[in-house]
Amino acid sequence: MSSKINGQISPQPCPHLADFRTTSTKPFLSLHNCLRIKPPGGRASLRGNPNELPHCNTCGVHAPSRLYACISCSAVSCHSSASGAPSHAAAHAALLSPAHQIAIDIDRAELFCCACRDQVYDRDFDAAVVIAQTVASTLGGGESTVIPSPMPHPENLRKRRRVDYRPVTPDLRERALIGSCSAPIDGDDSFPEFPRGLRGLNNLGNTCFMNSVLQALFHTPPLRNYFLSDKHNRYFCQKNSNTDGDDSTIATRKKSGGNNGKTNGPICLACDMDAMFSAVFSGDRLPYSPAKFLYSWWQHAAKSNLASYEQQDAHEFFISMLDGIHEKVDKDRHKTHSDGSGDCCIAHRVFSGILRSDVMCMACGFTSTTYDPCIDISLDLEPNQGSSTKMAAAASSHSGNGEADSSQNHGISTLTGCLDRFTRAEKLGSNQKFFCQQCQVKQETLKQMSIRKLPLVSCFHIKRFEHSSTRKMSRKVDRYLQFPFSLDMSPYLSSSILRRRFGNRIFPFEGEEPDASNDLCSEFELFAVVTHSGKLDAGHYVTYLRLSNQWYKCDDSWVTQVDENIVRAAQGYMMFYVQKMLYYKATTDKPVA
Amino acid sequence: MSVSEEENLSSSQSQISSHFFCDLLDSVIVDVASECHRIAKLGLDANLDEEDEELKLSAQARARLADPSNSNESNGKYVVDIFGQTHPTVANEIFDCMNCNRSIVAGKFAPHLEKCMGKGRKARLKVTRSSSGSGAQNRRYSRGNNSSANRLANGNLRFAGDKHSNGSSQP
Repeated sequence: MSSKINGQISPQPCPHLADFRTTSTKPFLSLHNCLRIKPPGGRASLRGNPNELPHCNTCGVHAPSRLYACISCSAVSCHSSASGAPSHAAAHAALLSPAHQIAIDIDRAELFCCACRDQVYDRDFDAAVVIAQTVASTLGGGESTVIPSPMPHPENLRKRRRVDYRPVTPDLRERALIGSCSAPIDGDDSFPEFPRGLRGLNNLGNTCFMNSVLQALFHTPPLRNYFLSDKHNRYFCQKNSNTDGDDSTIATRKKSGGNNGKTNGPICLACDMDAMFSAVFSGDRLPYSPAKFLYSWWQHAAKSNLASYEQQDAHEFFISMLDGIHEKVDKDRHKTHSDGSGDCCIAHRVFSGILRSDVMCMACGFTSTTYDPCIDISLDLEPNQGSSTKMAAAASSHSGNGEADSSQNHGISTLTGCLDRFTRAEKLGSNQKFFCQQCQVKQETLKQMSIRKLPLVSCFHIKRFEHSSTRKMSRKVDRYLQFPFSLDMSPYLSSSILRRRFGNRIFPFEGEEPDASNDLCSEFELFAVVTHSGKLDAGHYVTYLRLSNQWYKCDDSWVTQVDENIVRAAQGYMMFYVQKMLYYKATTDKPVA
Repeated sequence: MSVSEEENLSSSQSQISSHFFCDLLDSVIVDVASECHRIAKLGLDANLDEEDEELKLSAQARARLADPSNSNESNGKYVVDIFGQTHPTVANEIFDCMNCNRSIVAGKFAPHLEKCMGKGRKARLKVTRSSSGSGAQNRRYSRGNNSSANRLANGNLRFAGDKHSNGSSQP
């Protein structure tokens, strides 16, 4: 019937619209000449001349919200039907049918079929509107090169499919290779019913902030795969950069040479990560002490001189250690993170996305766009009753049933609500005027963020700790935040935000490739939640991990199994979501070999 | 003007204003209807059901947790972990410090390292905030003494040369 392109259905035309399209050559070709775009929002309306006052040809009424222009002959008629008589627009259509049945709502630039008496949609019409809107928001109005390429036929779109999961068994040659080039991991795993990699971490003295983040990282699929595939071999790395040949990588128990330890080989956080991955996935279930890592990280954090080594916020630690992994690798390969491509190091490859920021002039609509890479998204937890409009609609539709939880839902903060807030258009204050290149003066602006490129793993950080310059104003926000187990990020993508800004037109907006894989890329699954309980200055971090669809609580050295309801009700501080494609749901029933 | 003329004038004025109001109201209604129609026809509102489902599950979870008749699984003391092990409050594994090579108990490694690496003001100042409730198995972390709290209170610390923004909504 109709196919989905980029999450959007392309509706089939009504027979009258279809007729019109077949009979007229190049419909809507010069439409954009008549489209007036109102800054800054891009609302489009139809005017022959910019200053004309449209009126109904039949009765002269001026109400622009009810006027329709016939697309065949440009006759303008009104559509108010008083006392049961057909409106002038309907009469025009009936009189001159079949060719004059489609009209344009001149105030909204929408197609209306007078015969079907319904709003109808056409891709080329929408494309013309978007062209006009884009021209209005770029410099000089002429620079736009947004000419839509010929719309791909829906059948061609499904080129890149998700590959279905198939279990792999090695063939004879591969088995021989495995047998000759590898050995099973030392030690029996006495707990085959629990996934490998599940292991407690000893608290080394107020280090739960570190333990909680490490637990999440050990189970971040692309990161785990990277280290377990030996992509950063700590022996090789240390051998290359170590001058005195000490084996300085074993984290615990072995004596690290006779020197004073300060020059134990250069610090490489990736090597220490590699060591920890090996230890945690070894099958040994006694709690592990990440002492060497702590030692290395403290040196790194001290070097950057901007955070105390005592930094005890889990999120700050997360940023700091990713930076540490990047720094070491970056020196080797001279790549920077500035383009957000993630080519520089594994940390950015996994976590880095690109944010788009649009600043729109309120006076002329000129839009200036910048892109910045980001490693995570920090969200405000607003004190107001932060329900999104969708939530409110759902609540009111349920209230008729008298369900008690509908009123409860109405006041809850949600992760999607925070993301809505993050991506909404905000009017910057009049004391924050930006210089508009088109107007050539400082103007008030509208700013809007959106996600240009999603990372493989999205980390959402909830700003629960508020510090102000006076110590007394530090406080923690305990407010509950609802977060879903499955998250669809497509409404926050630049393409969706742009589409909404331009009136939800059928058009492949920025960043959308003409194939269907975008749907899959924006679906995410939750796999780790770092929670904080207690007060600002006396609290505790705990991580919940989702492995094989079972939730585990990692509280320093204690690993226990918990019901998912515990997790749903927990106070999320950092939530880790991985792209659904990388989340091996199919293996959830099988024990990890 | 006579009274009746004034009355006529005011009634025609109220007619006109009422007419304007109706026009505006019509316009607003058609705006919303048109937008919602488009959103529905183009399938852009597809996720509402899933979101409602998640909200419902979350509300149920919280209700269940608040119910005092349910045993408090998550907080409180642990008896045994999934591997059948128990762990003391202070981790008692012993290893060597990579800085000074002394044998250190794991649970005291961090404070030792602070002094050992010579960084800690803690090394000189008495630690004022220690964990209350010695029986608690959960480790408590403290924000340290006054000076470090000041450092933390300097606002959202970001690492300079940090080329990536964290996407906060500050312009």
